[in-house]
Amino acid sequence: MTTLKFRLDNVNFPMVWVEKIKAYIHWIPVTKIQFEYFLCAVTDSHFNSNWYDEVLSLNPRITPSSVRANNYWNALLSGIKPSEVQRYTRWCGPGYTIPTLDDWFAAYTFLKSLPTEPISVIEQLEGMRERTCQLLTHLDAATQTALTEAGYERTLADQMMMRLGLLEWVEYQRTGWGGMGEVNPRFHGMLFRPDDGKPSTPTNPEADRLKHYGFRLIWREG
Amino acid sequence: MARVICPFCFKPHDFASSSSLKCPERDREIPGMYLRDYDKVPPLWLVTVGFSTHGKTCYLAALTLMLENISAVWPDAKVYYQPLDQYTQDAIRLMRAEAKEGKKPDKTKTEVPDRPLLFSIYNLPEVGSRCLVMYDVRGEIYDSFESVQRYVAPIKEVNTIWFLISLDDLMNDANGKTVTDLFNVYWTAMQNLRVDLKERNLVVIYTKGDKAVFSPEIKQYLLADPLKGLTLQDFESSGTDSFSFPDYLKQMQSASAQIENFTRRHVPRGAAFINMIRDRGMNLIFTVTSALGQDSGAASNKLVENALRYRVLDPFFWAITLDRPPEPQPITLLVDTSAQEPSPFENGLLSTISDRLSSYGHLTIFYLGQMSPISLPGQPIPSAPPRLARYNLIGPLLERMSPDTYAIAFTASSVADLEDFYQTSWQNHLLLVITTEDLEHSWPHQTVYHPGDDPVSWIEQLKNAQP
Repeated sequence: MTTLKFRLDNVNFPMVWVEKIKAYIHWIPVTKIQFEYFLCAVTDSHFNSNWYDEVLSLNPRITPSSVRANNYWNALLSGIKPSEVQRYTRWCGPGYTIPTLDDWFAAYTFLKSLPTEPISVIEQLEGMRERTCQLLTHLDAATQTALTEAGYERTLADQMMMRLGLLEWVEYQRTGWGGMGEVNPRFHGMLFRPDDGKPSTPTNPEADRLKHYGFRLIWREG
Repeated sequence: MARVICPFCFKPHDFASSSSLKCPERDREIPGMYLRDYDKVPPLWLVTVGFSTHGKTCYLAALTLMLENISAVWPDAKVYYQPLDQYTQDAIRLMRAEAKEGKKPDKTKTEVPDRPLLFSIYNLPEVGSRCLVMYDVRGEIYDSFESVQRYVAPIKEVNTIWFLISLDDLMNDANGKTVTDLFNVYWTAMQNLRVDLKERNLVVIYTKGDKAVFSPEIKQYLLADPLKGLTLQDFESSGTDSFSFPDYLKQMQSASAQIENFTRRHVPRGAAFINMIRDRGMNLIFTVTSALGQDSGAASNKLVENALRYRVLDPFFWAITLDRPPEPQPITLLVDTSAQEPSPFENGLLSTISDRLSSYGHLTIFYLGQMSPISLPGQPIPSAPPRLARYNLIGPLLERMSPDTYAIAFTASSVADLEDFYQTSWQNHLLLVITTEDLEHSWPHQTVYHPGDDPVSWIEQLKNAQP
C-alpha cells in the first residue's frame, strides 16, 4: 500500500505529490512520447518536422520495449531550449509551471529521503495507457541497473530519475535558467551533482541546443 | 443532429456544417423531418426482393394501408404514421385510389424506382419510433451485376431483407424456379460486392397465403389474425382491447418455426434454402401473409378496399423487432501528407479512398502527426495538403481512438513511433498501407498500395486479422 499521492498529467503520465512544495511533480522528466502529443496538437510552425529532426539528432528516439540501461535517456525529451519548454508548459494547461530552483531542490531533498515505490503502483493508476506503462516499467528496470552500476543506493528521487537522468531546466533568480539533476555519463560526461542546491548555469541557454538538458513540470491547483 | 445517413445515397452527410438539405450525391432534398428526428426516430432500412408476379407490390400496398390505420391497434398509445416526403405521399395516394377503385396495383414497372418510400411510425409500444426507408427492388435486378451496382448502396447497407415468395406461383412456374434461385442471385451479387451477410435478417414472406396449400396449423394462424380487419371501417369499434404486442410476438415466433418446418418438408429445395442461409450466419425468419384475404383472380385485378388482410403486419413487426440500429464500425484513415507518387491530393485519390471507406463505416480522417481531424464522418475532405509539415507520428492519435476502431495508415515514409505499438492491441486494428515497397517497417498487417486498389479490401484485411 503506497503512501504516495498521484495524479496524471494532461497526457496521462504520472505526477507525484510533494508536500514540501505543495505541488505535484512529474514522476520522471518529460519523455518524447509526452512531447509528441504536443507536436501533434500545436499549430506553431516553429515545431515542424525539421525542428524534431534536429532534436532527435542530439538524442535519438527509442521505442519503450527497447529501453535498456545503456540507452534509457533516449526515451527522454532533451535538447530543448527554455523558451520551448515554456511553450510546452502553456499547452499543458492551467496549474503547470516549470519548477523554480527552490521547488526542484526541495522536492529532491524530500524524495531522496524516501524508499522506492513498486512500479506496479504506477501501472495501476486509473487512466494509464498501455504504452506509458510499458515505457515506465522498462525505464524503472533500466535505471535500477544504471544506479547499481554507478554504486548508488537507490532512493525515490533516483527512481524518479533526479539522478542519472538529465539536467532539468529550472527557473533561477527570476529571469535566469539553470539545470538541476545529474546526467548519466554514458550519455554526456559532466561532473555535476545537485546535492548542494546550486544549479548548472549554461552561458546562453537560448543560443545552443544542449543535448543533455530536459525538464519536468510541477502542477499546483488553483 | 449533425451527421445522418442519407436515405438516397446511404452515405453519411454532415448537415450541421451545411445550409442545404440536399443530398450532395443525388441532388435530392432530404425530408426535414427525417433530419430533425434522426436521433429520436432512427431509420429502419428495408429492401424487398422477389420474383415478378409473386405479389410483392400488392403486399406493399396492403402493408401501407394497414400502417395508415395502425393507431387503431393501440388507441391509447399515441401511435401514428406519417409519410415523410411528397414522393411517398403520392405513392400512397395512388395505392389508396387503386384500392378504392377496386384495382390491384400493376406489377412493378420496368423502370425501378431509385428512391425509397419514407415514412415514420411513432410511439409503438415496446419498440418506440422508427422511420421506415423501404426500397422495393425487383428480383430481376439481381440477375446482372451492372444492375446491382446501380442499387449498390441500399442493397449493401440494409440490415433486414424481405424475400417475398408466392408458393403457388413458384409451384406452377413454367421455368422451374425454386426458392434457392432467388437467394443465389442475391448471394452472388453480395459476394461480388464483398458484403458480409452474417447476422443480417432475412425475412421470408410467403405471399398469397390464401392460395398455397399450407398445413392446418399455419392456416389457423392466418385465420386467427386479430388485426386482419384493420383497414375495415368498423375495426376500431370492434375493438382490440386485449391486443398484447409481446404475446403477438410469441405467436409470430411459433408460427415462424412452423412455416420453416413446412418449408423444409414441402417446398421444393426448401431444406437447401434454409441450410444455405443459416450456413452464412444469417438470421432466418418465416412469415405468411394474404394481402387480399382471397384469390382476386387474374382478370379482376382488385385490391378491394374492404378486404380482410391476414398477417400483413407480421413482416413489419419482425423488422422492427429484429432491427436494432447497428453501431457503425468506426474507421480512421491516417494520411501521410508528405507522400508523393501518389500524392493523396492528386487525382482525387484521398477523395476516392474516403468514399470507399465511408461506405463501410463512420470514417474519420487525420493527417499523421496532427491531433485534430481533418474530416469527421460526413464532412468534406481538403483538396490540398496542409501548410505545416508535421512529423510522421501516430501514437497520440491511436491512443485517443476507440480501441474497436479500424485504423489505416496511408504513408510513403516511416512512421516514427509505430514500433511503440508492436506489443499492443493495435497490432490487429491497424493496417499500414505503404506507397513504396522499400519502406522499412515490419508491421504485422501491412500492404503495398497500387493504383486501383479497392480500399474496402483493407478493411477486409483488418476484419480477418481479428482473433
